[in-house]
Amino acid sequence: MCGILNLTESRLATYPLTRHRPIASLPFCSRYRLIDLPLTNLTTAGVETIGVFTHDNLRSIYDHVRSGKEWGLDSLHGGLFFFSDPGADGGRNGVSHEGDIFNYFNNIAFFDKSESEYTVIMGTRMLCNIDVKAVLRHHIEQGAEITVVYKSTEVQNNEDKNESCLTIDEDGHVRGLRSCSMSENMGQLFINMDIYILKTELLTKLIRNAVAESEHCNLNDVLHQAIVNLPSNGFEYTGYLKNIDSVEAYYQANMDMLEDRNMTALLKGSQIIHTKVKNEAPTYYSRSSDVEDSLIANGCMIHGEVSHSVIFRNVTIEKNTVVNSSIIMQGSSIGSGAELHYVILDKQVRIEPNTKLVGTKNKPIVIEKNSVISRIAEGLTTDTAPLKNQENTINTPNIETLFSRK
Amino acid sequence: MCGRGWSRHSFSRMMKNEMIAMILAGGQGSRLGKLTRTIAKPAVPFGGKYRIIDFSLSNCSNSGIRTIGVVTQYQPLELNSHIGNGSHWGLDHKDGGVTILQPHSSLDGEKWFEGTAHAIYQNISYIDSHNPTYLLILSGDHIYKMDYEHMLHFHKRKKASATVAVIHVPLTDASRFGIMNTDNTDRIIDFEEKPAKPKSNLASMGIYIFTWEVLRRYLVESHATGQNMDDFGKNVIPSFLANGENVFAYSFNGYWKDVGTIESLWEANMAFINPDHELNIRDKSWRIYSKNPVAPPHYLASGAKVKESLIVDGCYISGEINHSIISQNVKIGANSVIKDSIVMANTVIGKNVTIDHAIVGEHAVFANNAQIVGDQSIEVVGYNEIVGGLNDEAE
Repeated sequence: MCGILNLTESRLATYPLTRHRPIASLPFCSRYRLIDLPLTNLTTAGVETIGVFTHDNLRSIYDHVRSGKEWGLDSLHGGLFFFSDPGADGGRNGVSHEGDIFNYFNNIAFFDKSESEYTVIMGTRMLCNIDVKAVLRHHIEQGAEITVVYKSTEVQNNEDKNESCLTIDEDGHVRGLRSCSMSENMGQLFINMDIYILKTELLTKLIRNAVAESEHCNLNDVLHQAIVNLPSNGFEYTGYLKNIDSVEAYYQANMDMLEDRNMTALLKGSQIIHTKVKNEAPTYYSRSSDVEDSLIANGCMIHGEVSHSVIFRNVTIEKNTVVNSSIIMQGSSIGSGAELHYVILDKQVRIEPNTKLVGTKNKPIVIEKNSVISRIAEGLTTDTAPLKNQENTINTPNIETLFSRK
Repeated sequence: MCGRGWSRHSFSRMMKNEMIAMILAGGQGSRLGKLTRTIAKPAVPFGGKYRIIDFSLSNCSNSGIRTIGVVTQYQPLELNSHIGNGSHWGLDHKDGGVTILQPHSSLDGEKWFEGTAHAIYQNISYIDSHNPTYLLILSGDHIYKMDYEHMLHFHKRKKASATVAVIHVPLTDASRFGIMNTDNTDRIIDFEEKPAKPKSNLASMGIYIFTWEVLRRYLVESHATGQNMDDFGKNVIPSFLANGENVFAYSFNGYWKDVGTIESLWEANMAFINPDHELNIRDKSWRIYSKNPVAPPHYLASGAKVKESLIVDGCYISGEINHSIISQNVKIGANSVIKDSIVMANTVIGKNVTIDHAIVGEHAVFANNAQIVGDQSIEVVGYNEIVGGLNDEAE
């Protein structure tokens, strides 16, 4: 079996976290990147050849994955292959007006050379831990042309988002695909996870046909059409799923990991998720530290109060600080007396002493990579963010977006 | 793996096989009792996520040494699987890398290593195959950070045949070590093994650089004449001195610890918790590498209380941790109290457990309400040991 990581995923929805990185490179749960999950799923299922297709600059992905050694992909057979087409239209946001189909077409030799009967296609936006082998077994047993993975979900009435949903009959056959607004639809929905298994031969045929019709489209559009037009089956995924289609969803997914059952389902259950290994010292907790209900990576120095938070590697939290319901990424430091509630600090952010940042559960404050945030005003909250003291903040891009209003 | 080490590595490519290292990792370390019953001393865990040999291996890697033979003998299984192909220390080079050298039998008979120098003699063909100018001899038993390149510069500058690294110890402790007496040019004029009345406080660290050609001659000739040349301290250095070879003492000023006993292992670990420790483990320019298993971040549950402690990936902690080191994948149940202790990897500790002044081996299991309290001495719970009643087995 050959694997495709389809990384032409729109980055706009998760701005500013994805301003300079693709969704696949989003740091997750103290030590992972989103790409770790599909990579582990594929390699655990015995997939030895993986093609990574993207419009983006590959640097952050390549830097993380390298030879794929951590996933056992640096072997004699197969391995990782990168196909990037940043020329399409700059690849600024991960999507191109011309679609990604030409990137697949131009590299169609990859499929022929892989000599694998089946190909599985996955992305990174649908955060899940799936047994790809079980999907393949299901695909072969059911004898469908294409198998698509879905998650059955009860709609919570207050969600304001759109999902791509499948219509599936009692026998598991795909009957239709539609975009449905979660706020309007009630009851059972089958969310399309954009994970497909099909014969490699069929996939190349679909790609060639799409190009022959010279339509600018994406591989996912081609597959959406194909599952409706060809005899296709649904495979129900029953594990943890989060569609990382907004900053809030990203925040929520991280917070979900604080619950052991979610963490077990996604990261340490039947398939242990692999990631790039770093040599960090153990994390030090001082006498003044007070940490509860939090996930913490190696290499940190914790002197302050941390609760209900996700802390990445090499973070320093000084004395008399309060970090609550926040995500603090790698290499950030929080000065003494600072107070953070509902905040996402991207990598290498420095929070100066006595700074107070207060977001809300539904609108966490995002501080971009490498920012330095100093104390702006007494009792600063999101509602009162004054911009006049901007000279105190160095290198904080677009300060208005930093302190988003409720 | 390169990053900051870039300049070092490009330099090391230049010096290539000028010096190769042999790490003597065959020691039993019998004074560590339960902890070395099934594994060799260099494989004993240290500091939450390291094994003792990681310090020597990382020092080699950071010093730009690309070819390393690790001589094993006693209980090598754990050590071999830990070292693997050396990739965790950036030592999986095309040319050289890490080679595990175990005793083997041949047409000349069995070849168990009779001593430190004998182990080198038995591996002459391995060393010759890399054709080094200098040979660095290390012990896999010590906790320290050292740049061997500095020592090599010293060795060359002094035009020495042998250089012995020495450290200043309190004169009262000196009778426990091999003591070097030097002249005012650092030349060693006398060596005494564990002297009753030490004349100096320069203790041998068990780290030697030899000009390989000279050492090789001594080893081969003594073997031919049946002269005992089994041990570096007892035989080789005295023989070098007797023959008027240039033997120099290289003074080392940093942290160096031989964790040979349960007490010293416990003390070294406890001191290691302090973020201002002399070893400066967080220094990115001289990292200590180890084999890092994949584990999720550690989780401190509501009700957890962690003070003055080190915690590593994969742990799930509900209890109270005070001035202790908790290694990978340890589970600690609610209301348990761990104090002044070391808990090694994959141990499961139930609820209401008390552990105080103890070293807990890997994969141990503590049933609910179990108690291990070291009073006069440090309590040791062995690998895979089960502590506490079977009736209320911990979850």
